[in-house]
Amino acid sequence: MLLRWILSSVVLVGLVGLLARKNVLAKILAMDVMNTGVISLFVLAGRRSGRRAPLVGEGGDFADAVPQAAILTAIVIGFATLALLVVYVMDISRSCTTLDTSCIERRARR
Amino acid sequence: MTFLSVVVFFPLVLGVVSLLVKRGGRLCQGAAGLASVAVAARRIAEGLPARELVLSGPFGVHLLIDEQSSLFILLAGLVVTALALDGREGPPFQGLVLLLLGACNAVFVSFDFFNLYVTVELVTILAFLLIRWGGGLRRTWAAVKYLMTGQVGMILYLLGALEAYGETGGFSMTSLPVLSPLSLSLMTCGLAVKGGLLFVGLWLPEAHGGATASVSALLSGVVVKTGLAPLLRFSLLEPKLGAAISLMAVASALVGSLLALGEGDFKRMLACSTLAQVGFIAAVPSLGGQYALFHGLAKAWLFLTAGRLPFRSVASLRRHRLPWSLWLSLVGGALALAGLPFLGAPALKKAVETSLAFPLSTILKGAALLTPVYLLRPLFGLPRRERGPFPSPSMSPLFLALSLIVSGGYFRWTAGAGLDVGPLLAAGAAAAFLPVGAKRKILPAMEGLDHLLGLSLLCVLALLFSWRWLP
Repeated sequence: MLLRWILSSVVLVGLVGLLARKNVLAKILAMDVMNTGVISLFVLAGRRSGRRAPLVGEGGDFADAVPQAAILTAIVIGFATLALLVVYVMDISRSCTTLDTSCIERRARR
Repeated sequence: MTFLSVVVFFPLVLGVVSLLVKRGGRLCQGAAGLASVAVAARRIAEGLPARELVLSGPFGVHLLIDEQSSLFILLAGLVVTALALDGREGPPFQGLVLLLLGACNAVFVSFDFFNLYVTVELVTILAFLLIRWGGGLRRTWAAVKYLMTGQVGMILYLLGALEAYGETGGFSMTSLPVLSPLSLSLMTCGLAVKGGLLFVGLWLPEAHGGATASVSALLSGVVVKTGLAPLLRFSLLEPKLGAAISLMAVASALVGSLLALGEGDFKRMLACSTLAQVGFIAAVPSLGGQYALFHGLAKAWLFLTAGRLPFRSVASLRRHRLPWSLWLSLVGGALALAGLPFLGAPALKKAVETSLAFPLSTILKGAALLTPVYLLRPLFGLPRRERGPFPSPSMSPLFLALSLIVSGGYFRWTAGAGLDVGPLLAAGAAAAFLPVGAKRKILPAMEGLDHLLGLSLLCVLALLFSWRWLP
């Protein structure tokens, strides 16, 4: 239960960073923190039924492998998104020489 | 299974092939589009019953192929075929479009929360790459905003899916009616961001208006529907959530129309109109599939024609004398979207309006009344003096118009409503002559990144509270 609260607060910390920081790169990193929090929550959800790895031929209280297997895809997607965003922000910073969101917003609108 | 391999795997394989070979992309695009059209149209025409699939085993992915998914797949196939006919963009473009077609079709058939997440994310990443097509700071920034807003929406969606798994022990959408309000609100909000419903869909004017014409046609025609198709399924399965979604939908119809009325840029105006039409799609879930088909075809037509214009502002469009073919194509698309009998769908619009309760139906009617006004206003300004060099229009609008007429005839979109629409269109056309000189951009501040992100969180809270207030 404690672990669950800690991970939920990681999501919230990411959220606060996402909304409060002005720098695009910081926003993207905060988004990744949020994503990592959610992924860890999924991993934790699998532990509810037991702790041991679900291997064939061994008895005992297995962890639920479904959410953990599913979240693997989300990890990959999160990584791809992060990489693409950083590349685009590199491109933006080259033509804007700033990473401040409101500055970029003003220049992009011109 | 044949259906799935034709609509999902065939475009994906062709996409990879055309990305590797870098030749014959248009041919592949046309083939994949027509294949999707053929199988979806056959399913609709034969009236085959809905088919549920579980791929494979007890924890398998749940899929559902029914009439609604066939309608969406038909739309995606038609728009992609029209793009192949248009063929304005260079080699890697067609490969991306083919991958996008496969991913969109996969969204339309999925009936499983996690599979939906994966496919929607795939669509988002491909759309993100396409929005920047053509380069430039404005497009890049619009793409970044789109991806970040969408990603935050999808993180909320994932939290909802986790909650759903904790409650039911599975990701299948059949368990939707027993889910808690929290998980439903989180997932609905994530999809509403993708679907462009208010107020979380305000990324839409910037992204759809800024992208090149072919991309805008694809985005407004198909990509927005990847958020709406699952939302329609949600509304059908859980009527209480459906009531909240209808409220959001009617709000977007009204606000989108008002925004489009005040917009000074032609393509952004079309994007705001998408914001409005999305409301019509999501308002009534049982008619949403048909309305999505109608709107997707008409809007792709308008965007593809608008791509031939050498300028973007409404004011200069009113000043120039366009060649007849171009002007007719623009007016035809505008009238189709406004509900001209035989080309548009007046009966369908009326059915959508009358299936809602009193205050909502009146608001929706008002929004429908505004449609011809904002669409026709740029096309009827007088006097037109200036001429410019204009490229000739391609075949794709003609193809889309034909498919609109055929599908309108099949689904009886015009049956018996022609008389009601006449006055509406006349009023709209008359209002179009009024000199309303809007040049400023409405709500630039609301389209900032922080606002977009904040709005999606507010949307979750609003949905949660709606549980207490709605009957």
